[in-house]
Amino acid sequence: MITEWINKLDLLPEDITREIVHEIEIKLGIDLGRINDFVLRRRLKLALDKSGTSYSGNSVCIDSRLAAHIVSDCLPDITEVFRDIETWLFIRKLILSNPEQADILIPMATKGEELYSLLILLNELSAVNRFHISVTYPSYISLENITQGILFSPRSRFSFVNFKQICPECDFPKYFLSDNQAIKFRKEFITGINFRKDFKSGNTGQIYDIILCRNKTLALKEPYSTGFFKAVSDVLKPEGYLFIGTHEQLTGEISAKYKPVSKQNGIFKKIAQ
Amino acid sequence: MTRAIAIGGSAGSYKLIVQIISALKAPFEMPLFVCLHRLRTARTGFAETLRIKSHVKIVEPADKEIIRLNYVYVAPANYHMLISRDGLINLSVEEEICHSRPSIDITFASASEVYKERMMAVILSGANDDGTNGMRRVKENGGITIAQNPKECDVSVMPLSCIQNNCITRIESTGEIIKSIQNFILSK
Repeated sequence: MITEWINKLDLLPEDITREIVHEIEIKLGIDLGRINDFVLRRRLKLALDKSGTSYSGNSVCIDSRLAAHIVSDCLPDITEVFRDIETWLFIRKLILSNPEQADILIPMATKGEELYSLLILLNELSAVNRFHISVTYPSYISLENITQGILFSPRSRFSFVNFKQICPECDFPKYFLSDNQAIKFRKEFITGINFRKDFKSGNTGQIYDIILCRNKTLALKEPYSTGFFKAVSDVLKPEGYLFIGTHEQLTGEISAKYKPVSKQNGIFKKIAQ
Repeated sequence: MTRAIAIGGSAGSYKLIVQIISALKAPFEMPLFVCLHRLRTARTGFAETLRIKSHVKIVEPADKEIIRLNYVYVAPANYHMLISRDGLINLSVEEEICHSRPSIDITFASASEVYKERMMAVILSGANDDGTNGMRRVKENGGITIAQNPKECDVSVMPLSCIQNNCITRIESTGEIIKSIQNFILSK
């Protein structure tokens, strides 16, 4: 049962944690040491338990697929459709008021809930063709989960409640189906998305009108959290919109580049250069 | 070395939280963390309401906020609140634990990793068993664990679960809890 699995608080011993972090950096080039210690040790323990991987002494055997699973499990992401209703009401207004084509980025996605929320909204507003969505993901397991329409918290009543608040006229089954007792987002709506490993402009040259990176830095330690916001900021167009978590903060030189649209809801507009 | 107090509660605990906080006087030379289950849509108003009867600073922290002595930190709605070794409060949108976000287990267990035996944790009235695993961790690490007397709770499930799982060092009434907190503050 996923609820029993997730309720566990056990932490992985520090020496094994260090070894796994090292292994994953070698195998995937991803440094999990950037994650808050408590979150990392707890989520690593959950990931090993879920995969049935045993460890003894200070050694644990990790193949590439398990490494990819671990990365996906260790980076927490939004687990609820239309989390923070006020933010989504603002996004709806933004979509309705923007007749032009626009590029949207959802960076470092390990779960699909944020993408599914956006796709539902664009479909309901008949705006799918005007918005080009890019999603970056840290490991191919995240990509698999997202493209399969997997809801990480399929029994979350809040996803349903939020959905009805944003789309009161729409029926849940239009976008979600019950598959083997799990509720999934319908795959037919996951089309035309540009899935990529990396969003940095040096790699693609692409910049975006809107970036949804809500709650992505919560698990990251400093200075990685600030570094992430800086990297994201570099690929946002002047006068573009940045959405961060309601309790995340832009600090220092990055905050100077933005004008708050709604600080309470984590909505910022990049100042034109 | 800094010490800390953590309080968790759910249904029926709000009045007691107000009583505890209104009895606090600065300086109490430690942080106090409050993790209360509440409506996730009620994003504002909770800390503000607590402030009305309080003589101390009460904040709903942003992520990576520095932990200060003499402050009361209230877990924001729909976020887990973790205490980090680097002296910061971290928030998290990880999955609900015992159907709860914020989760008392997460706040208690993470604080216990930092403060070890220099910590007091109090579990109040509530309707599920969130808090039990966190209390166990506090007790294992040498901290003081107190449960509100189930007989005086509006909903006794939460303290009863801690008691039945042997995670409690003392069972106390409301008045005794307030006194214990004051004694903990005064003790060195």
